[in-house]
Amino acid sequence: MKKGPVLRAIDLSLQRGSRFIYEDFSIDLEIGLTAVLGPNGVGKTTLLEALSDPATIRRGEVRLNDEPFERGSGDAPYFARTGFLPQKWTSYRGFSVRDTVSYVAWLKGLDSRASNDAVARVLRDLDLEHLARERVHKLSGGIQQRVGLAEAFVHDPLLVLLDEPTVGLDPEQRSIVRRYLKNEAKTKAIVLSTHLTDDVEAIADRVVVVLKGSIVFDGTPDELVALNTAAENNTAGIEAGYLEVIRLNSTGAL
Amino acid sequence: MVVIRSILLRSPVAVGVILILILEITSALGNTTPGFNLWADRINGLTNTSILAAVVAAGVSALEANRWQASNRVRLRTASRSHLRVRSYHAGAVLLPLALAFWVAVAAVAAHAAFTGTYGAPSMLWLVSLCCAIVLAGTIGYVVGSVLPHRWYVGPAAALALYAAYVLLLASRAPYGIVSLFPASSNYDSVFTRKILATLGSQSIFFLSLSALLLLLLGLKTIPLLRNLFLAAPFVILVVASGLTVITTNGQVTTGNNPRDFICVGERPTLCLNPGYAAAIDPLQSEYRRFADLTAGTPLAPERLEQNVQGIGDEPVAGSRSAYLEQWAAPDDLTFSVFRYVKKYGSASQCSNAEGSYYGAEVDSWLSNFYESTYGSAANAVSRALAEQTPEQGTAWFRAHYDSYASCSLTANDMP
Repeated sequence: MKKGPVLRAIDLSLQRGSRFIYEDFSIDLEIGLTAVLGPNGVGKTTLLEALSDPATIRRGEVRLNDEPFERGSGDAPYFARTGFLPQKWTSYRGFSVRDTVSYVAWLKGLDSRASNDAVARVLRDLDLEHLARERVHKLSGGIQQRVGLAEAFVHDPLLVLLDEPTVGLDPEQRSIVRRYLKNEAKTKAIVLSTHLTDDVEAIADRVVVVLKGSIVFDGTPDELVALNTAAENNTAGIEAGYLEVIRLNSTGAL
Repeated sequence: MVVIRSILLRSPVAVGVILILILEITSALGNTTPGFNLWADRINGLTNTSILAAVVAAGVSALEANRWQASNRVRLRTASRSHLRVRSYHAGAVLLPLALAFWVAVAAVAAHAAFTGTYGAPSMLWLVSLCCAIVLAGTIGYVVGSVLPHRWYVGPAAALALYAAYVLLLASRAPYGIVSLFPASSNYDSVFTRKILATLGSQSIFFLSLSALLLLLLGLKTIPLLRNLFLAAPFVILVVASGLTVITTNGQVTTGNNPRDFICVGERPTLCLNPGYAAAIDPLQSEYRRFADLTAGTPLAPERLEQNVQGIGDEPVAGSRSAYLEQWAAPDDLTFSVFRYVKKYGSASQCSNAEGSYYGAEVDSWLSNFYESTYGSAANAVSRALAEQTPEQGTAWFRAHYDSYASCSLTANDMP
């Protein structure tokens, strides 16, 4: 693997409809787990969707492993090395868990032998082996979410973009997912958009807070916690630090 | 393989496969000429179902494509395999089982035909054309389902729209060449036709190349560039060339032709029927022998009869005349055959006066033993008088009055 950031997004301009959410936005993503925090509607999903498919980006440059994303027929290497779990993950009705993950492995370019091995590994790691033959649409929301995660990781990508992956998971499932992500983050750049600050505290190596199209905080979870000087009464830790960042930026103090 | 297996087992395509199997087999086996067992009828049965098969193919393909597209939008967008390849695999997984269902139905019909001694053989190109029509109908449904937003009614709506388009096309009285470009056939096969392979082949190529072109356009991820145009060009050329061939031949896939594959029985007359109609040959020969006895010594008496289809390739060899037999559901069908002989070779075509026509028609019915009236020979005094003669009296009477009959100048005074 080349040294330096896994992904460099440089001077991106991202729109939702006719409204610009980001202008001249840049971010570098490195090996490890980066949590993206921000208020509702700030554009976390827009950012992850854009990075999942840079062809939708109006202006700016995206480089994966220092190779620029190429539109059209040259986009295959980028997609082969990225995984994405969208916020609204949908399964193909009728497919079993194994079918679903195998299908994505095929879409990502794995041949059948590699696909079989990869699917077996990811199902085992996410504790889905015993559900491999079950039809996805008959499973609970939490388990479906784990199938979505399995999809995002099955082809062993370099960059994984996860839009609120732990929403709807019970404590046991959340524990499985956190353990898995923590382990995968040793060799991959994982970007996680979330509202759940305890996830950030548990597994993130880096926290990025976005507001009004800009990064208003970029540091470790401990650094975010340390920002909590306002001593909010009813919050603590990451959440308090995050709220302080938002408060300071909303009032223009930071 | 995952896609193909799962789609086969867990999608509306499975329903489509079963429906096509049931429709094709029941229609092919249920479509018979009463009294006979002909491959041409099996083909017509398969052909009659083509609009229903097209509707089923379009409906299930639209439904499947619509839900696949909706649930895989993100996966497709971020796939590293070529969009065209992914799309064509899925389209293949939808369309091939539908086409295969048609061939399984054909195989079942062929097995039935083999065990029941069905006469004739299917035209492979005709069958290929029917199959290609299913593929095109399915492709149209697939494209519609892929481009429309996800709604439960997309499949049924696509099926209904295809049927409505067919009805409108027929109602528009468009030339048959244009109608023949629609993926549903209304052609008619018979023992007494020769297939026009150029039209059938062009039709098949048109259906397939248009399917390929539609799928190619759907599978191209970006607005067509020069490379995409280059890919599409061969299919465009095939669509245009084959379509023009079908239009210029006005969609005609058969032409009248008597294969002269006969089995013959009897003397005075010798009756020759196609082997597919052999079941009726003895009773029909009896009817013609009775007729020959009554007309003995006149030019109307047949010596040798060859089965033909009236007006289509109706050219008996020298010394023979045509006998027509379409079906044998009742004894009337045999006497009707004799009646048609009399109408063709008798005086009917000479008649222009009312009295001569009336008595000529009564004589025709008596000679053929076929009466259009439900009262039969008891319908009126003239027919009763003719029928009450002994065969010898009848023969003598007809010979004596043949000239008047032939010139359509029979009067009441001539009647027995």
